[in-house]
This record gives sequence, structure tokens and C-alpha cells, in this order.
Amino acid sequence: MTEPVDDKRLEQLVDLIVQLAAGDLSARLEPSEAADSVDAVITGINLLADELDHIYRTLEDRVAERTYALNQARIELERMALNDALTGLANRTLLGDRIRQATARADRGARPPSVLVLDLDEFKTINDGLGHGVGDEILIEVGRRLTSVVRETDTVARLGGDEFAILMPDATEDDALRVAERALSELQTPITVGDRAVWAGASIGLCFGLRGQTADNLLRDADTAMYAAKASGRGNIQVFRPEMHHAARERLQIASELGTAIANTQLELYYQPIVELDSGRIIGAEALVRWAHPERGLLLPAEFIAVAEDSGHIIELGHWVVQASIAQLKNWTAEFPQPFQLHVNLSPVEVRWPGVAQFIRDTLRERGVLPGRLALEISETGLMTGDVAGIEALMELRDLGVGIEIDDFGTGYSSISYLRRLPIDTVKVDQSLISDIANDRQQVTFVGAILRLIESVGLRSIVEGIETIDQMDQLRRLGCLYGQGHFFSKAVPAAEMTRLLTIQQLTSRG
Amino acid sequence: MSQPETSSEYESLTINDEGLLMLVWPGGVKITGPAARRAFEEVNRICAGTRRPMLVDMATTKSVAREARAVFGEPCAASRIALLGRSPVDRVIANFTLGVSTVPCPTKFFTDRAQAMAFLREGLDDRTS
Repeated sequence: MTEPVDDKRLEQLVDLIVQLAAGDLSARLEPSEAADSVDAVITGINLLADELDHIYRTLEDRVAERTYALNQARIELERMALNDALTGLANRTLLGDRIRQATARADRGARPPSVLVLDLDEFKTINDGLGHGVGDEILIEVGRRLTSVVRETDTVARLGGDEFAILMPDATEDDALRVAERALSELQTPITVGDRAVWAGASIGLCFGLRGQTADNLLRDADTAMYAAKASGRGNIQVFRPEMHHAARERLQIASELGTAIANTQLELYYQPIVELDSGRIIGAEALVRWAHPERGLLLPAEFIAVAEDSGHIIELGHWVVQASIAQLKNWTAEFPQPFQLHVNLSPVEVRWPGVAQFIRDTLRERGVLPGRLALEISETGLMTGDVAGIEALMELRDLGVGIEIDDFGTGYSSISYLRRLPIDTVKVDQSLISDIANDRQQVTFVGAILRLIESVGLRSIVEGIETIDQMDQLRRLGCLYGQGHFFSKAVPAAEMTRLLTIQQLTSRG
Repeated sequence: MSQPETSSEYESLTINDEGLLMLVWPGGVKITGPAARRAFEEVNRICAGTRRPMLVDMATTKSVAREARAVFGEPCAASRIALLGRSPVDRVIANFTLGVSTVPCPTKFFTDRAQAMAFLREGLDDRTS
């Protein structure tokens, strides 16, 4: 069958093809009732256009999907690059950017930003003792708590490890201090992980920015102030002062010299007598380490213990102290038959050290010293990290007969009921609780209540820092049995301690 | 000038004396996706679990929507299909359906009814119940 060449449908077909070629894939031509070959071509082109349209739409949808997925991936990559994966907080890079933005705004007239750097005091102990899973949960909770104390315009960041920072743009000094105090206070509440309450504690450095100060300097100064907070007893806030840089350099120097000091026996033990208040008899002594530095003179523990803990020298230092103390104890035990207990400080890091119980047991055995002659003092905050392995080591030592004491009671946040669960026999009441006891009736009542509570749970108390006869009289009236402090004697070298014990022995015979 | 209303529904669906399914689309039909779906479901319903050869009389069909062709690509109770048409348009539509969709059973286009029936009868043995 031959189609007439002048068939109008052919012209329409050409138009259809032109329309389709121009990109209008919705164009169609209705075939005629003739259903002939021209209609077959029209139908075929309609069907091909259908397919083409479908393929185009599918492609467009796929392109849109892929574009969306790429965009999401880009956003996620940016988030990963600028946020801490564990806590979701800003990371160091993002914090740096935000500090730069805030300092730029300050250059245009806003108040300069303040930066806070915070480091957890007991995180290493928690992480080593309770595992990284618990450590991670602590970090997440710390991030959450910090976020809850800041203003909307502030940025909370995790700098790495257990170090956090808060940027407070356009902040007054009061604003910044308020945030710092709230952060410190939030972290004083124990963190519950599973069925365990863990106390992380924090040291905070705060730097009020100056107009024109760079982001790097601001962060560095806040970091320096944080180290100053660590050095001044942890659990406090220090505002940056330029002289802190000098102290920071000193700390670095100390850390580098400490290894040599231990190896070259530049360390020395001093002893502060512990006295029975009623009789004035020396019933023991606390061993306190000193560093006879060849250039700086005699350094007190406050000047190097925190550095030793941070630099990893503390185990080595602790070993030296335990061995030297027990060696000295052996001499005194042979010379003075009367009851005498030597009190040795153990840092939380040492308590956590897996071989601590065995090391002390072996040292006592080698020297032939009865375990009951030794008492170990562990700081209140060190015992509050909920560290099971550490507690087990202390129980092992207690079962051996070694005395276990909680030190500086009253500076942390432990309750009497918590003390009952610890393997301790003695509580050392911190001197801060008795500073005004001779003049302040309220303090008398308060200290009396604490002493009674300690006694009621079957523990012995020793009050530290007794400096005056009035303080001692008041404590005796409150029923306190034992104490130590400058009123009786400052910490003295071994030879002087031997002299004091000799006098006591002669007096008691006499 | 208004277009006369065109049907999109099938005209009849029966099983003949030989047990063959006979699906007839009316002349000039424009088969849409939903209409194809209804026919498909009815085929399955009347076969009640059996599979049968099927003659699809699609002579003078105007168009088959893309969605309808997708339905024809789904497995159904038909064990083989003969598409019966007359015009070149039928041939294009039928071959488009065969070419674009992956048909689930042997399917061929015929313009001769007798040949179509012969093709289907060959498939009577394919029936399963």
C-alpha cells in the first residue's frame, strides 16, 4: 500500500519530530483511525518518546538523588572535620576558627572573647581502671554538662583526650567567671556510669582576651592557666597572669629533670610526727618527699608531684618513696620498740598501678617490717573515682595488715556513707576544717559532728594542720585522739626524727 | 471538535471450550496502567491457580501506556500469549511491548487468528494446576 505524499499527517509527524528534537518530550501525535503505516510510524514515535521521557525522568531523579547524597556526604565530612566524633562538640580546628571570628569582631568594637580550658583531674585513673568504654561515657557526659552551663553564643570544644575548651565571645570578665564556676560546680557532681558513681573533677584555666590578641595566644594562655590550676591542687579555677608562663617553663624543666633526680638520689624523705593529743606521745610520722635540687634548693611536693603525675614519673617516684620509707622504718623499728606507724602517701596513679599491692608486700618482706607498721594515705579525691582495681589492691594490703587512710578529708565531696564502703581504717581530717576552730563556735560544732560521724562508722581520725595550742585544746575537748601539725613539729629530716624518738624513749623510761 | 470518548477497559475475558483464555480489547482502546492492572487481576482470578495460554485480541488498539506495558511484563496466570492484531499500528504496539518489556512467558504477535490459535494450542500442555 502506497501512502499519498501530500498526507497532512506526514507534516504533523515532521512537526512532532522537531518538537521532540527541541526537547519537548511530552509532545505526541494522535494516530488516525486509518491505522495504516503512517499511523504505525506515529505510534512508534509516540512510544519512543514515552521511553525517552521515562529515561530522562529516571536520569534526572538519579542525578537529584546523587547530588543530594553528595551534598549530605560533604556536610558530614565538614562536620567530621570540625567536630569531635565522640562528643559531637566542636574540635580544635572549629574552635580556632570561632576564636578568630570573635577576635575579629573585637577588633571592630565588640568585647574581646574569653577562653576557658578545662582538663579532667582523674581521667587517666578512670580510663585505666574502668576501661575506655567508661572513659568515653564520662567524656560524653562532661561535654553535655559543659554545654548546659554556657550561653547560647558560646562554643564548647573538645581539644583532645580529656581536655575541653569554651569560647565566650563578647564576654565580660564576670560572664566568663560565672561560666567557669558553673562548669567546675557541674563536674563536682559524680557521674553515674552503669551502677557506678564516678567523680572526674576538673582544673580550669581562664584567659580574658585582649584586643589584638591572636587566637593561638588566647588558647595557649588559657592552657597555661589550666596547668597553673593543676599545679595549685587541682579542682580549681585560675585566671591567666603573664607570670604563669614562667611557671609553665619551670614545670617543663622539672619534668625533664625529675628522671635524673630519682636516679641520682636527689630525693630525700622528711618526717612529720603524728601525736597522741592527750599524752603528747609520738605514735607515728608522715613521710614527706623533698627534692634537693642542685640549683633551686629544697623543693616541696607541691612543686613537683603534679608534674610527676602528668609526666609519668609518679610510679618511679612512688617506688622510691615506698622503698626509702620502709628502709627507714626498719631502722626505727629496731631502735625504738614502742608502737610507731609510718604514714606514706600513695598517689591515685600508684593505687591504680597493677603491681602496687605485690610491690609493697615484697618490700615489707625484704626489709622484715611488719605490715601493721605501715599506713598508706590516699587522697579523698583519688578514692572517689570509683576505680575497682585500685580498691581491690587496697583491700589486699589492708588484709595484709597495712593501715589504709583517706587523706585530706573535707576537700573532696565524699560522704561518710561512702567512706564506710572503702577499705580504710583511718580518716585524716584536712586542716582547712580546723583553721578557725579556736574562735568560731560554728566550726567547733561542725568539726565535732564530723569527728563523731567518723567514730560512729568505726574509723579512727587524725586531724592535720594543728598550729596552735588553742586548736589542740579545742580538738581534745571534742574527743579527737590524734593530730599532726607545726604546733608539734614541722616535717624534719630522718636524723631529727630519730632524735625526737630518742628523747621520747628516754623520757618514758625516765 | 470534541473527541469521541475512548475506552481504556478490556471488552471481555473468557475461557473457551479448549481451555484457552480469550482477552478482547475494544477497537480504538487506549490501554492505561490501571486498566491493564484490572485485566491482569481478572486473568489471575478466573484461572484460579491454573496457568493457561491466552489470546489477546488487540486489533485497532490506539495506544498502550508505558505503565500498562510494565504490567504486561509481570508474571501472571497466562502460560503463553498470542497478541492478535490487524494493522501496522497493532504490530508496532505489540512489538514495542515485546521489545521493551521482558515478557514472563512465550509471547508472539500474529495478524492471523488461526496461526495465533495454533501457537496457543501448542502450549496447552504447559498448563499446570
